[in-house]
Amino acid sequence: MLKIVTATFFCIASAMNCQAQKTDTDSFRLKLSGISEPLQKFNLIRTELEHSNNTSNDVDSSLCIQLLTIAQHLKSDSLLAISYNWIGAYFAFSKGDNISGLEYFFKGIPLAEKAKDKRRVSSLYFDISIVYADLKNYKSEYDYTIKGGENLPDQSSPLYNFMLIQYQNNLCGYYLDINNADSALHYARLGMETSAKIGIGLYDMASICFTGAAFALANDTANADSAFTKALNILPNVKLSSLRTLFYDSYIKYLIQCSRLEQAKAMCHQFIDLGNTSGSNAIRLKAVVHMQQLFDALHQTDSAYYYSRQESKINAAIFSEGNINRLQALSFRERLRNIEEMEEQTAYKNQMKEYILAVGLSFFIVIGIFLYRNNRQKHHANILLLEQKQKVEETLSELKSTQDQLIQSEKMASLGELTAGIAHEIQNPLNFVNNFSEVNKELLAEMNEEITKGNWEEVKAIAKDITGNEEKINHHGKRADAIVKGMLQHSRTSSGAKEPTDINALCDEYVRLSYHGLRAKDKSFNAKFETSFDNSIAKINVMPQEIGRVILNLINNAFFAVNEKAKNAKQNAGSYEPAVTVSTKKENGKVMISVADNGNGIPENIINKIFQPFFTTKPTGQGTGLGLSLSYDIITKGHGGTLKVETKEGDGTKFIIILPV
Amino acid sequence: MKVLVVDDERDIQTLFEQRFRKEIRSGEMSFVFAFSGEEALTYLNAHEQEAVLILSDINMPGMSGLELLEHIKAKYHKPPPVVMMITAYGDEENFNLAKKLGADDFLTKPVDFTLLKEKLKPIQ
Repeated sequence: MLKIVTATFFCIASAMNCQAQKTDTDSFRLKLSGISEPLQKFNLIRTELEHSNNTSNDVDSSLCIQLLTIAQHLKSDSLLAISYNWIGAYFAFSKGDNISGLEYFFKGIPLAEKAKDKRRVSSLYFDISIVYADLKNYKSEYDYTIKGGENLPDQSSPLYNFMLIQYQNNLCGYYLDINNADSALHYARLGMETSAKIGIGLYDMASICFTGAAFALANDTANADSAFTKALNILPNVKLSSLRTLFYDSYIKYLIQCSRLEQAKAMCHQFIDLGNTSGSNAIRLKAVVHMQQLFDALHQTDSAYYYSRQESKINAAIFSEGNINRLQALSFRERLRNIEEMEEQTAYKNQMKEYILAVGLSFFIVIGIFLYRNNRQKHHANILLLEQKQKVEETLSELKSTQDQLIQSEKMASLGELTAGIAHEIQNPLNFVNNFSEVNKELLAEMNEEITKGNWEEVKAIAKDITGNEEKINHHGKRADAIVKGMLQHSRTSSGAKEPTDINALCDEYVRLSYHGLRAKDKSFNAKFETSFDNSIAKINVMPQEIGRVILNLINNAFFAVNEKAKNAKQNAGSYEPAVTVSTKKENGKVMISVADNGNGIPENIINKIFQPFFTTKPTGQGTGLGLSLSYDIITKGHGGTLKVETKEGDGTKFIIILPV
Repeated sequence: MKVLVVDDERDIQTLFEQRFRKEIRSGEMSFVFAFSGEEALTYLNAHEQEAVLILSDINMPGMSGLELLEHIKAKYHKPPPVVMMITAYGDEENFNLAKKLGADDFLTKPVDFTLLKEKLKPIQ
């Protein structure tokens, strides 16, 4: 297997640095103690890790612990992922503990993904792939290489080519592992191109070695030779022990393969030297194994045996080293566990903090809910108020319409209550109509008898009676008619619309109408009438027919009253001058219409009854008793005004209509 | 038999006189008219026990027919005369009240004179 495991950790800075001399540990410590800023410290440790790794192929576990501590302190997913990457590398590549290595690599992946650090994600996958290659699980080697390839940083990233070449080298390594020379060659070439793009020549050696190995696999000695010659040429410039190891490993393998054993021997010696200078038993062991194979091929049994013993020695050293490593690993694990426990404790503390926060929060939530409820209740109350307001408004409008209906239905109700009275009013005239007509029938029969007898005097008397009865029938018929008409008027819904009306003109018209009407009926009737109109009254909004009816009614009443008094005065030979005065006046935004007479006035005991339907002081048959009742309704309900009466017995009566403008 | 008719309708006099003209002519019956309750009481006070039958209208201005009935039946005239109430009110309330006050019979307007004459026969 040909791998440059440490290539995973190269970054530009460290790659440049590692071309220079080995970093002095003491100077690093000094530098580190001078830095207090954690992130700077982290980066310094990281650089130091890369240095030591590149030169000695080893990972310093204490530096790993420092990285992890800082990463945890900073609670940075990105730094934690880097730390786990290094810890994984320590286990897998430095200590050969592949399983622990995988554990930390896998631990790093979700953190790197969370931090959206693509470079770290791909880096971790490549390391995992290398571990699987070491475990000879080529399928997983391939899968994780591909996954790493899927997570390469953006092409615009300066790290893109560094990660791309790792991807290509890993794939090439994979195809070499599965003995696919063509594909290995293809990716070796791609690697070469990428290395050229990077330009610093650092990766040339790896790509050249992979190319050589691929040609060797394909038994293309010419190209393999040319590749390894190139490698040999640049070897003095390559300081990285891992790259030098890669060169010796692949080149010696090739030389032995094509039986150029002398060359192989020389290379093996150089390889052993590298192992000695780097102090790495792993390199020494690889070199010794090659030596042993070489002398086997040369059939020099002594030398082969010598190197076989060397191998055992180194293995033993590695074994003991492995023991030490294991101990180190154990203590490292212990320290890791401590850190993780601390982390857990911190997590526990954090959890406690969260609990306290949660309790506090829930307390505030409770208060919040309380306030919210309060607010809601207020809101509810407001809604309730609004609803009630609407209800009240509805009720009000309902009341208004009900009131309108009441005005109407009250008329009907008063009619209903007074059906008996109505019956009386109608039955009385009907009584006369029916009975007088029957009497007339009888009288006519009698008259016929008298005619037969030739008793003409009697016939004449009967005829006179019949005529008188007929007059009575007619009179009472008309009376019934008037009653029915009055009733209809009373119950009729007033559909008249209000319109601007000249009240003065209206009053004048009806005064004359009433006067001449009465004069026409009763020749003896005479009365003085005066009008006094306030000309400042503009037209006011009323139902003219209705108001006219009221005025007419009041004036008729007034004339009737003065006429009655005049009759009495005539009988008693007293001097009396009947007079009716109609006047209008505007006062306090209201219009007053008064109808005054100088009649007998209204007796105190009936003053409360005058507005009741069917109440009348007129002799039976002359009044329906609906006039003032209707007038009252028209003024108060129809126009929102008032109808007042002022009276003094013997002196006269004054009706006053007050209308709002 | 002397009959006192009480009604505020003046024409009632003409009507009765013509309806009963045969009876009046034959001297079987004689009629006295009063046009208010008060007038009726005045007549009754002046001519005690003269009127055998009183026909009264219930609805009259001033003293009503029922008030008059109460006066006649409770305070006046022994033995009390027969009182028939004639009214346009056909309602139960008036009928019951009149009965309670001691009215002997009840007629409604328009008056059926044939029926009235039949009711008068047994009294004669």
